[in-house]
Amino acid sequence: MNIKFKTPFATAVAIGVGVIVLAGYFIPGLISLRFLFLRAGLVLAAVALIVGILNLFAVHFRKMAQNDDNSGYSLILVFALIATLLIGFFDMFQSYMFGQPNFQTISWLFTYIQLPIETSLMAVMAVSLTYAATRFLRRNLHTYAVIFFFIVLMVLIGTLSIFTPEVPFLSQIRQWIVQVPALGGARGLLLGIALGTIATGLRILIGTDRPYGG
Amino acid sequence: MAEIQCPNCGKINPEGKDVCDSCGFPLPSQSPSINQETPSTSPDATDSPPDLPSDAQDLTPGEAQEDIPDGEDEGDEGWLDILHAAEEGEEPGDLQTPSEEDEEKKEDTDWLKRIRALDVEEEKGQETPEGETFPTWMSEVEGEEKVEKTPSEEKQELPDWLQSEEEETGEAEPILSEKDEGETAPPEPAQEEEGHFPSWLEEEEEPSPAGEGPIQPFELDEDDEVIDDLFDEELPSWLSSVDMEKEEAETGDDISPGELPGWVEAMRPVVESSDTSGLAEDEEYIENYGPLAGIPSVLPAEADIDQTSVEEGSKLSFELQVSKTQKEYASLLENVISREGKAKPKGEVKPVATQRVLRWLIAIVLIISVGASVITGGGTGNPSPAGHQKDDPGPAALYEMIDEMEARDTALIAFDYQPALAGELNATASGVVNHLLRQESYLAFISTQATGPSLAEHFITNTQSEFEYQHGRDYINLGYIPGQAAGVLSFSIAPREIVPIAFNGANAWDSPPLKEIQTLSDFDLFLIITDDPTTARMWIEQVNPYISRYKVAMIVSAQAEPLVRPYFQNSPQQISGLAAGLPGGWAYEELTGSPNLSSVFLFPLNVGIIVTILTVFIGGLANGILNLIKQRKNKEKRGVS
Repeated sequence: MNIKFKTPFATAVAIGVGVIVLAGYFIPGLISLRFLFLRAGLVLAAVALIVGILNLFAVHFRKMAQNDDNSGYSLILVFALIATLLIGFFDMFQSYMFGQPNFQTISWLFTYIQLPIETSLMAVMAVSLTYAATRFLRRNLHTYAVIFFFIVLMVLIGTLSIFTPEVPFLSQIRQWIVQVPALGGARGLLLGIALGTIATGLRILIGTDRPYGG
Repeated sequence: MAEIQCPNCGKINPEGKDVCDSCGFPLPSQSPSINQETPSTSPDATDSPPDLPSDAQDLTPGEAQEDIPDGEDEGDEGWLDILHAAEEGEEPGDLQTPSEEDEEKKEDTDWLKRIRALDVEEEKGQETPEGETFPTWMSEVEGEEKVEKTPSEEKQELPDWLQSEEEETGEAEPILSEKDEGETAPPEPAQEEEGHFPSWLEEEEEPSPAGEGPIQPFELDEDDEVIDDLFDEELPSWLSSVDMEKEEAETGDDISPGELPGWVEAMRPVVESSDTSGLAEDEEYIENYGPLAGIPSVLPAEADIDQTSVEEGSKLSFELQVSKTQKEYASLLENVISREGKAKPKGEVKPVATQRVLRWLIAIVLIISVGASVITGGGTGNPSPAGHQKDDPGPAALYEMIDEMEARDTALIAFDYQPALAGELNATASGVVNHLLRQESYLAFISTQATGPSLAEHFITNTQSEFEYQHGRDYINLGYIPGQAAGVLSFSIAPREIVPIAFNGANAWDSPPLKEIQTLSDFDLFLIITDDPTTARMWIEQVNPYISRYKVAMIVSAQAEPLVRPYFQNSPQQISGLAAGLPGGWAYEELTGSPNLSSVFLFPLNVGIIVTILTVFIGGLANGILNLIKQRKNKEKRGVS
């Protein structure tokens, strides 16, 4: 397709679909059309996931072919991807054709490989954060660093469930920190993100921003 | 109307013009005597060149040179003569009346003369002096205003040259009259053929004697060499025939460049400066050479350069004079620049031994403390949660929602959290789901993450194994919805169309849990389990229009609690029940009276938090003190130095 034709065509499709989906919230007659576009979007999202997996496979297969320093990790990834895919197809065949319970082999892989690995990473992160907190004042010894350090300690103490009944004000301090300054800052971030999302949506609807090319 | 012919280009300019419209050459001022002068047709004219008027022939050469522009046609002939004289190596100032020998040399220009003669004849016939009436031969065509005159009177009023012509031919008047009439009416060809030129013009017409035949219109003779030369790209024959070597030998170096016309010479100031070296301090510079000679205050062409300084400058050495310090700086800069192009070898950074030890020490302490609390059984239900956790309305509201459900009611559960947080959220949700199963509720699982269906299967298999729930009979796993918010919205609008089959490929909506479900609002409870506040917000925003808010509840991790809790605490509520973190799960289990994973994990969690607090406090305090000591030492070093 000619690029000169593609650009305005893609822009027209994006704007048209966006306007119809947005109008579907306010015009009852457009609900069915909005739902049609949403379903098409779901199919495209699923296809995009498959395309992403294929791209991941291609990138690491290329790294393996180049035989660089990290090609060993790419080999493990490609092997794991192919093995999981084959097991998934096997489970799918077993479930769909013979009515066996849900993907037992895949569930075994998830329970005994993926879940422990990710949970262990979270545990390592807990140790790393603890170590970073101890080293924090080693590098930064100024007023704000000291304030930050003691706020961390106060929140941790307030999270305790065992000793706080005897010291009730500790839990109240933690509640105040979490519900007022922390929540206020987080809400501010969310409001900024929401405004940015609205602005981005409007830019796409009026064609100023064209992330799909052109 | 009198017209002036440019002596330079021959262009006819209207009267009153000072310069030529075509070439800008200054036009001579037209005096009445010049307008009245007519070409001489006297017999003496044969001794003089026919191209020059009689009064011009009487002038001395110098005067003739000055008066050349004063005439009309004469002017043209004058510059032609000048050119001709130049060809012969004569100075224009030496212009003399051409002799008969000169006429022979000018044969090559006869074609030009003939053309000019015709033009002059036409111009003369149309010319009328200012303030005078038309000539008699013109006034005859004036019609009624014309005054009848006798032939003798008419003869007296005619110009001399015309009278002589009339005497010779006796047909001039009719011819001219017919010619003038031809301006108003188309002339008959026969009458034109009978026309004759004046005698002075017919003298030029050698082949056709005057009065012997009709005047033939001027035509280009294709055989004429001169005419061919005009339209030839090469030089004309008369010009190419000139022997250049001979001409150069004759002229030599006598040709003075940039000769000015006489009228320019007359305008030029005669004052000359005696200063030839350029500007004097108190005097104005007066040009000595060229067209501007004698004019003061002219910018000199020569630059004001002192020759001595120029000669001295040319002898100066170009060797750069730098000091020793400057040479050191230059070499230093050169070294710095040369290092930029070289790769610096990266040395291996050895981790500080104390840091590695500290890292391992922290890990060992945490593992031992938490592991010991888990192994020793920490005491299910032993720890008493804090007051605010006991009084949390979220678990209580969630408990009431589930407690009001009847058997075979269907609860939709969204498993939207990462496997890394499964330890916390599985424990928190176990008590809630356990309550649902004890209520004999149907369950349906959905997720917007690819790992969600596996997490759901893991959860129901590992935490609720005592109930022996089976897929397709007691619960249904609807799998994964792509598209994030768009997928959630689509599922909220039409769940049957978006997820037609179950995780195992069976028809999900024919199974007992979903048989009576048509829309999202048909579910009796919608429980969202997530660790991400953004995911929680997405579900709340998309499903709220399609399901009653009294049916929506959440189980979130402790890190998402601050951002999710406002959805429960605000009025009106957007979720009706909330259990956050292990304390929330423990509180729910306390309500149900059946301790579960939250109660088991709460004590190890508290032990881990206490160890972390102590480690951070002690380690941070020690590092802060070390940093303070280091800073003081640095200050002392600076003070000493």
